[in-house]
Amino acid sequence: MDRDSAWGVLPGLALLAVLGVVARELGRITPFSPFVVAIVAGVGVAAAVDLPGWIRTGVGQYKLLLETGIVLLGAGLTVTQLVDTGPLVVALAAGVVVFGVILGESIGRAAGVEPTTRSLLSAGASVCGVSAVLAVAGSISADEADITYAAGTVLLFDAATLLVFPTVGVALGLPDPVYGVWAGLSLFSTGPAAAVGFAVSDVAGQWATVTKLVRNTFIGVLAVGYAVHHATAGGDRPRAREVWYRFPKFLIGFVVVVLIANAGLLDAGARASLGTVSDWLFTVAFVGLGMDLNPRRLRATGLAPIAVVLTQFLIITGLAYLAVTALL
Amino acid sequence: MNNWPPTSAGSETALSRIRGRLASVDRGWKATLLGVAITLLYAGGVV
Repeated sequence: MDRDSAWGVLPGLALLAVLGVVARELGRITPFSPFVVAIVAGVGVAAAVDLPGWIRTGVGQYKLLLETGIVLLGAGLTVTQLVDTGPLVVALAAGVVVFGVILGESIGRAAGVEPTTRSLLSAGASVCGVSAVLAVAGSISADEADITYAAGTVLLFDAATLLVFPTVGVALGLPDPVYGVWAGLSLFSTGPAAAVGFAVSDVAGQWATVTKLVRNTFIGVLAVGYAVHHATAGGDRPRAREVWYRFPKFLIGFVVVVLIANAGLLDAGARASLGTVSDWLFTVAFVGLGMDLNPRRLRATGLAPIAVVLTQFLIITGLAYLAVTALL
Repeated sequence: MNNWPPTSAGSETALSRIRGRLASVDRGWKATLLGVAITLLYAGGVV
């Protein structure tokens, strides 16, 4: 059987769907968010059972479901929301990216982390996790060992923040939109940013995802910036194709759906239904995200990179908290 | 060689080629197509 054929992915998708339905039901009859239940179910199953390859093929499709759910979130975004908070969110995201990279590079240099590794870590922590690590790796000709090291560190933080952030957010008692923007500015990867937002509420999840999407758009600028710097230092010329290849294309779909929704083509009922479809896609995808965060799959990372990324994360998160509570 | 009407072997090759093409499409584009298609189904009142 072809591993990537439609039939090949069905068993894994069926497992995600079944656990997704269970998570939604538990979310309905208990005080727990279905999204949190979905992640916990995924982590639990992957930790308890070594999933066979014919299941893992379909489970790996959770990223497609997650990105489709994000595209559909565009239906809930109104022009008023964009006009009211759009420029501020863009400015905050730009600030996090620029300051995050400078901070990561500076702390990494002070801690004696090798230049290529610290550039990959700074990119991953400042823009969009492993995607940014891979995009910048292409710009600075990083080798497999550097990439694995940086990606492993990012995944480790994805797992840790996924557990800690919602608890801290609820304890701080922030309004949902403020918490959502804070999460979107702080977390490394899109999946965990959406997950910690939806773990608190739908509104927080939407804001966390939209803010994170704004941050993701800087991936191209960052990759080109690193490539130019690397070329100036005697490396290869910037590769536009590599930057485009790594650019998260689902952002284009998100913008198209925002345009469709704001062109008046969707009535209130259709918007609500698309919100429900998006919720279901997120629930099923979060089961897969939980499975992907299985600690056994996280690669060993050194203490110095972890200390550098932790310091960067705490400073950026702290500053982002001050900014969102003062400005929103 | 005339390929029309398609033989079962010929259509199988074409199907494999389409599958191969689909498998190589960037995941972000697939999500874009799926998301926009679902939105348009709701916009058109089909769903």
